[in-house]
Amino acid sequence: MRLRRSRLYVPGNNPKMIPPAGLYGADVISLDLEDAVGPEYKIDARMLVSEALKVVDFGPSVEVTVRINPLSTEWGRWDIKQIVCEKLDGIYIPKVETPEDVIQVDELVTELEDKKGLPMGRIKLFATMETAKGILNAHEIARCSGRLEGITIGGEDLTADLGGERSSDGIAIHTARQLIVLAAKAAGIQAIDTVYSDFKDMDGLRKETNMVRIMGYDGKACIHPSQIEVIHEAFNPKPEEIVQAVKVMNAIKVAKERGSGVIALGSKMIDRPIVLKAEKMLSRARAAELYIPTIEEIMQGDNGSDQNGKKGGGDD
Amino acid sequence: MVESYRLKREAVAGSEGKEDCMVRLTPAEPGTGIQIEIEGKSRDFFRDEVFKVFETTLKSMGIEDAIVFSKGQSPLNFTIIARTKAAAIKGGAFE
Repeated sequence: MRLRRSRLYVPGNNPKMIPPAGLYGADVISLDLEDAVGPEYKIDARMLVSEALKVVDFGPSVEVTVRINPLSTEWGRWDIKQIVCEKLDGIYIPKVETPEDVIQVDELVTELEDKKGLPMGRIKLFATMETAKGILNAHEIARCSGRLEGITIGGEDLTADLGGERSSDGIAIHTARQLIVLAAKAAGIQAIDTVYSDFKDMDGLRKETNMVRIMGYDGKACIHPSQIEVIHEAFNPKPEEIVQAVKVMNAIKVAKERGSGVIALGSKMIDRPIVLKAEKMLSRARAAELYIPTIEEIMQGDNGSDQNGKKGGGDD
Repeated sequence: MVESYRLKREAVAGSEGKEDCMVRLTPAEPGTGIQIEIEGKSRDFFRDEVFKVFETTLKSMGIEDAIVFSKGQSPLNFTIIARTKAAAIKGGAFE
């Protein structure tokens, strides 16, 4: 599954902000037809996004998505009809409360791909749960469509629906965050966190992003390009984590070569969860194009740092 | 062959903001064609090209008669096309 550390919202009715949207380095851009656009400008935004998708080159690596209006509104269906095209990679569906909300979009996209001669199934779907009902149905929603590659949480709307308050510790939506990540992982798809709305508070953003990464989230939405770097830093494996993962994988390889059933790294036994974690870490590092040293480089470094001339590491 | 459509009412799309353009479409008598008036930075330098974009866009939508007024600051072609199409939809051309 592709890297989706950061997802940048771009107001769908702003012709100045759309063309450079791919230049900021976000893994995903979401041209927004929903909350960023007032009711009187919905048609303007839809046509602008539709025309932009035809001609704007957002770059080779960014995933280009559109956040449509819910199908329960007068705009949702028209949004989909207009935006489905060759350059569209995905659709974010807001206010999802039941599997049916996703299935309806899936069916319409399938119909349009067929009608427009596009590759079938290429356009991915992402469902955002932002009501108590949606959160409690997340498990069923996450498994309802083969196009679904991620589920997300809408923090502001959810807090309002709960009658709670948005706070720096995110306590009002903490359980919801856990339910979303559980539902996503049970379905084998990604979990993407909500925005951190104070785009000048980088410390707060860093803290929240680290928290959701530890919870198992794969990415976080953002409202300003300045938030992208902080989010990537939080989601990227740290150099010491990459080194540890390489050592784990090497220990597995050496044990297999020796025919040993017991695998240890230093004084610690390596069991399956540690191997899976190492594999995921290296996979994320590769996707983020981070430097992965070879085991020889690591051992050399370990030896070099040992001034007593002892064999470094002892990790195999 | 494109099916023919007529505007039913005056409609506006877009704004006069930076890199945007405001497009106002007004219904015109049948047979009077597309009459265009533009204001803004693009008026002098790209007049012919902008006129062509309006005309081609409207004709591709099957609209042969319309009064177009546009004001904006050096918009890109995709913006002009999008604003024209949005104004045509809001003007009831396809109702």
